[in-house]
Amino acid sequence: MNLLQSLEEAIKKGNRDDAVKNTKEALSINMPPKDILDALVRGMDDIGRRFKINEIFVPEMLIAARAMKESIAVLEPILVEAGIKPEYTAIIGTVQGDLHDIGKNLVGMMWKGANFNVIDLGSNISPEKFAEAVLTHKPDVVGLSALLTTTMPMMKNTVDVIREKTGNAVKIIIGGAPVTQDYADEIGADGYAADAASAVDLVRSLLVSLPG
Amino acid sequence: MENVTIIGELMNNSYARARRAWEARKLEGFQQLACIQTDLGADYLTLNIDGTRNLTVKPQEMLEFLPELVPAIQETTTVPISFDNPWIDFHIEALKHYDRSRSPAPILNSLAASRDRLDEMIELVAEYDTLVFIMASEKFLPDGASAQCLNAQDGYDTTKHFVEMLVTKAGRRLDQIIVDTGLTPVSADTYGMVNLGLDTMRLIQADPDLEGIHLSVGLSNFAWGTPKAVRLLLERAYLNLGLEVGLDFALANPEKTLEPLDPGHPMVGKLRQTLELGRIREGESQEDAGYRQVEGILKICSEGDYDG
Repeated sequence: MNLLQSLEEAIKKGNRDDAVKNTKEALSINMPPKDILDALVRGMDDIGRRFKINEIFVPEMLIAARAMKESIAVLEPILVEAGIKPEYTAIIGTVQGDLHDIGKNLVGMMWKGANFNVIDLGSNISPEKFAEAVLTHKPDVVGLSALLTTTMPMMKNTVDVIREKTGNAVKIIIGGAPVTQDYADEIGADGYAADAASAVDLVRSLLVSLPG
Repeated sequence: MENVTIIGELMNNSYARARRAWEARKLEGFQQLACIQTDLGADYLTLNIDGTRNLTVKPQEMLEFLPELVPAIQETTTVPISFDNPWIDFHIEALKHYDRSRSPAPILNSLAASRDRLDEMIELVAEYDTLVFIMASEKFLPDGASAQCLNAQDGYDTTKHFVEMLVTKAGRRLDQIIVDTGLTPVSADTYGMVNLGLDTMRLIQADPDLEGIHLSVGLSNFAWGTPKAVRLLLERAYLNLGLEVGLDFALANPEKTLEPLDPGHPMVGKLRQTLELGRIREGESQEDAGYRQVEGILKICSEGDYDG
């Protein structure tokens, strides 16, 4: 097994010590940082795939995401130096009136694992704050989370305010226990993801065909 | 179950049977779920007809069905209903159609710092003389806003605040108040929230002024995100730990074995040790401790041998 394969395996196993060691070693022998990054992303993609088919569960996903995060921390300065940017910038938050954040956090972790630049606004975020963050950070995608039926209407308000203040350029996707694809269609969101791993695929499918 | 009052959770659209009954607006489907749980000894029956990821429910649809649904459930059982929704209009409609001559006091589930029209919800509790759930996982902020409780003292203070309001404004006794300390799925608990819930119960239990108040959790949340083979054992082991700190209510599926495990069962010790791993040690962050706990849960999940 070569070094990059070992790195990929370390991510899949959530072995952060090996992940960091392999990342450092790969850098020390001047491997292209993009190749190292690709190995990390391949590891996390495999985690997402296996999570969706119930081969692994939430703890494995979290442990793998942490290993990825620690490797990225080592790799990031080199990526910056080389002018390699995260694949996409994403903003995420739970809508106003809703304090739940587990689902939102899991999506944020998987997005980071897919090499997205993630700006987590937290929970109980007003539509205006989402819109301000879109203007400030100019993300490719915004993820809205809600756990309660009573706070779901705030998703529509948030979509409306983001569209009104920032236009139609940013993709908006939604998720959370009571949320469905029908609801996403109804409120004019660009997509719905049923779980954290699907949220990665959804962003890629929404953005891959766009001109860079 | 001895020592724990069970609120049967099958009338909830997260369950396929309830979802089918809801989609067809089939009263018999709900009645059947009420009967099953009554026969299994549930002390209350939750009624949650809210949306899920598999089903969109419009608020108006709930209001339109409640006038038929509540009497239909009461036709088949005298077990009281626990009305579960964060929205006050749901409770207004539900309580209007609840016949107190057929069943004991229902439960209003729930009051929380983040609720709209909280004062009106408290008035409803008084008007309909209900038991009431309060969420101790959200705290009041001075500016009228709310935030998640991040330590046990917050949860305890929120409980005291609600008790004060419910005693003075709604004439509730402590035994009519049920505190939900919030049970985070242990699979994703990198924030120490499971320990926070248990610690909050411990503080409430230690306060003689709160003697008689009930402590509850949504038990099925606990093992979410873990393999099926281990879920029931984790839930039962959690009951062991909860009972030690005064837990006496649980929202749960009465079709499962809802007994705590034998205290000597290895899972009780494993869960206890794993949650201890989640305690912050000197010089480290919550994240460090939280991931250590998640690693412990991962170990439990991967060990197999789940008889019991």
